[in-house]
Amino acid sequence: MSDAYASRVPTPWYLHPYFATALSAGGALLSSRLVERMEPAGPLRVAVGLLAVPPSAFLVWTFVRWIRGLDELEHRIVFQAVSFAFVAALLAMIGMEGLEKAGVLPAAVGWENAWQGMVFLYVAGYVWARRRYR
Amino acid sequence: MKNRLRVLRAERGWSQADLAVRLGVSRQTVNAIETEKYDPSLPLAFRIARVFAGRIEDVFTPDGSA
Repeated sequence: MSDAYASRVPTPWYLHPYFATALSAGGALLSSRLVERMEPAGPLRVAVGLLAVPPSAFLVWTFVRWIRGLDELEHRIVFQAVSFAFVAALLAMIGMEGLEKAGVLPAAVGWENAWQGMVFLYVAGYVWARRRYR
Repeated sequence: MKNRLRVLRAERGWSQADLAVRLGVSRQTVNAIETEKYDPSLPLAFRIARVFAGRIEDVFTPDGSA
């Protein structure tokens, strides 16, 4: 039987997904602001457009690292939070698409901001799942 | 599943945090097991039994058994 869980090393703040999320959001904001205000051209435009990718890749790495360090109950909580966020996002998207087609919502709802809703739903699901085992 | 985790822990004067460190899990996990909101996996149940120098049946009993 494995004793893999027997040592839990706390994650330093700079490797925590919360910090990486802030970096990723900062990269996305900076990228869109630079494109809007400086209007770069050529390869520089490509570089500015991809500014959010390295911090987002870092976010994925910290998230995987964090998930691997969780114990079995924490795994269950994250799984329930992700499941909740997935189903709730699916329902929200189906509902919004229907409203868009019915002309109740404007045609350009702004799907580029959908990730903010997904993050919100994940956090809501995490809080809900965590409370179940308190 | 019923368990005697709180009793066994109290007999040794350990806090939930102490037991969590010994088991390599979070304090929340220890609390959830003690309050019977969460049933541990078999490997964790074996680790719990080993920490208390006993068998799994000394710590856990199925629901409905005397």
